[in-house]
Amino acid sequence: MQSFVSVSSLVTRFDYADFKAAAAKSEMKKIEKDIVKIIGTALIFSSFVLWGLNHYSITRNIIYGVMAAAGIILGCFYEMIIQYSVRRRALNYYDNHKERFMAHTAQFFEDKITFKTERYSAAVPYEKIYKVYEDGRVFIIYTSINEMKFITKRALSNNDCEKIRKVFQSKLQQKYQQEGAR
Amino acid sequence: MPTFYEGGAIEEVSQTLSENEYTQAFYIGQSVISPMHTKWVKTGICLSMAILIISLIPLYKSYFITVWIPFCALAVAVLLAFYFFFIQPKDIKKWAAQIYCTSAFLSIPQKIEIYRDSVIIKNEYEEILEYWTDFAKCVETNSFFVLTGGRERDLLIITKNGMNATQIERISKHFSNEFALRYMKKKR
Repeated sequence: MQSFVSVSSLVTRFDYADFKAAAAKSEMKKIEKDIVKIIGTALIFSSFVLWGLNHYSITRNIIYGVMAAAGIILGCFYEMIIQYSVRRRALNYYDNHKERFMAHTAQFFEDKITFKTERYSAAVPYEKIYKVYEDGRVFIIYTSINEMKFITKRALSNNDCEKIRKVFQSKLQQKYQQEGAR
Repeated sequence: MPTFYEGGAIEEVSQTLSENEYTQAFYIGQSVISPMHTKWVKTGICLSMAILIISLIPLYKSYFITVWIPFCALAVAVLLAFYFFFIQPKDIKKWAAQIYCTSAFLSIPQKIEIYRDSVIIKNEYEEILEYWTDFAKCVETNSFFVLTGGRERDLLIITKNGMNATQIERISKHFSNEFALRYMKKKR
């Protein structure tokens, strides 16, 4: 049987950072974002209320200002901070563990996906895949809740991406998530 | 593949891990990451903090009228000790059970070939080659050999269930030679 898409690439440090950032986005739940926004709003609101009640001390004004700033950072920039932090750690991890990153080949067939590196080979039927997450830069294929393989889109043409997307949509349905879609 | 110089397999093991075996081995793997990862150390630290807080209450009382802040801190320390000793181990095992249940590869029969410098793990869908130098630690207990820190999969579990004493002895000796200071034997 011939594969309809075959992709080979060597993982670069930015590929790895993109993968980790996408995995973090995939794991972030809506309720977590909502709770952080509520806390941020509460901090801003309470800083204004406290300032209204007692703004005669410079120290207290500074404290209320810090509270308001913390609220704005949490409410508006939480995801950005998490993404930055995840990417930094991923880049550091890559720089310290370069020997772990090898060239890999993934091939898509009608009934399975194969992965191959110098030390690993697998043929995974679509029904055995736990879920797939796609964002603007990577496809992440989960073989369990904490085990995943990724394919960077920079190694794929738009046509290949579309073919992969179609097969995931037909074979995986609910298990296939795209960034922004829940 | 193992090189020519490695010779034949030292031992070949066929196994199918159960959920219970996986969760137990996972928990063992987690607890050997560092001393801080054991429940005794974390609980001990919390209880030490609680004792320290109790001992400082008379000093606190000499400066302040009420003592509700040290009592709150004491309650937090005791609750944390309770959490680390009783609740967190169960959470870790629940997480391990989730990993096992969602994985296509952990619950199916696998064959493990142990060579001088490497190991090959095969099942119906995949084949993995790992070198002993890839692993961070090897822990032997009464029921398992647990190897942590692998390149392709973080945990390699070899269950003693189904092995005879000679096989266990051979594998144990091989791991203690290969891992040296990274090898530990636990009594449980």
